Amino acid sequence: MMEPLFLLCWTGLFFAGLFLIRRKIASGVRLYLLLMLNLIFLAGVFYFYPAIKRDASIKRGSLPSARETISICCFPAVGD
Amino acid sequence: MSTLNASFIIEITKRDFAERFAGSVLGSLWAIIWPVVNLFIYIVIFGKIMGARLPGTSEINAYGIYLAAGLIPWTAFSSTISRCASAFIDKKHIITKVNTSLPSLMIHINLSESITYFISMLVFFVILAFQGHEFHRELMLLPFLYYLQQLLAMSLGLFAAVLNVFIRDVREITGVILQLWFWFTPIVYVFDILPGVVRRLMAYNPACIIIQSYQRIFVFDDYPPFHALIQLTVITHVLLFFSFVLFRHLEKDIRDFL
Repeated sequence: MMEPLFLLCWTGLFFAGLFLIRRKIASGVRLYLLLMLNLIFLAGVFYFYPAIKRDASIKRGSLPSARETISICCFPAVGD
Repeated sequence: MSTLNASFIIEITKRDFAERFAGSVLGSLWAIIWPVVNLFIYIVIFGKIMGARLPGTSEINAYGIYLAAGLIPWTAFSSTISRCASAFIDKKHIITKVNTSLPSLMIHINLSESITYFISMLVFFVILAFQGHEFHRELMLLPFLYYLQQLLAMSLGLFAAVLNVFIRDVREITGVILQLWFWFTPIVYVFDILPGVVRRLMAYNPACIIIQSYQRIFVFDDYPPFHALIQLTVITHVLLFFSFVLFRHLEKDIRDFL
């Protein structure tokens, strides 16, 4: 359940950012800000998704040890 | 520079879609018939009649699904690049008459290709459901993958479109590069059959990362290579930035030249 929730919230945040940039920012820099927002959005999906997935899979099984909890919180998994 | 106009983009997208099937009796139905026929060829002809098997899987239709999972995104990706590359020349009559922002032509191509992609994916999902294929959570990542792939296509297309105005050979060169790129990407063959040197080179092929992500999701029920996707996201945005800077620098000349 965590993964769809994350994707929904993250996409919601992205659209809120889009709306703000479109409304509040002058057109000269708007496009560059949109590019930055896009980059953060997509990189964020691919960075946080596996970390959340790993976190969720551990929660479904046995409780993680203190060491695992620290490693999940401080060093989210990236990569395949 | 004139600003992006949403209603203009939607209007030319509608017209583009209507023009494609103008004069035919079945009209827009062809947009559904084509993906059905293509998927029939991939899954039934290759999978069942020719008996092509995917190494490492026991499923009969695995190769057909593997083909479809690679060809549907590749078609959207390559069509976007090739159509974007000639967008300024093809839409010369609009550019010279209406004061429109040139990037909106890229967006309309993307939108038009997205409709075709969406229909193809829908048909693909229906076929998979009929075959009793299990759908996994990884499918949620598809919209993000598609978004990244189309951003990359748009950045390359914009770059080619700018060059194409001044050097008309760029259109043909783009076609040749796309053809070579198709065979250099594991879409119809499996990545594992490649020799070691080529496999290492594949790490620098962005289409390979995208197509492999689709194949992992659809065929192997696995996650895409996230680390490579993050790198590709950064590269795509850098490319998009440079393409746009080049376009802005030459926009006045492009309008004069047209």
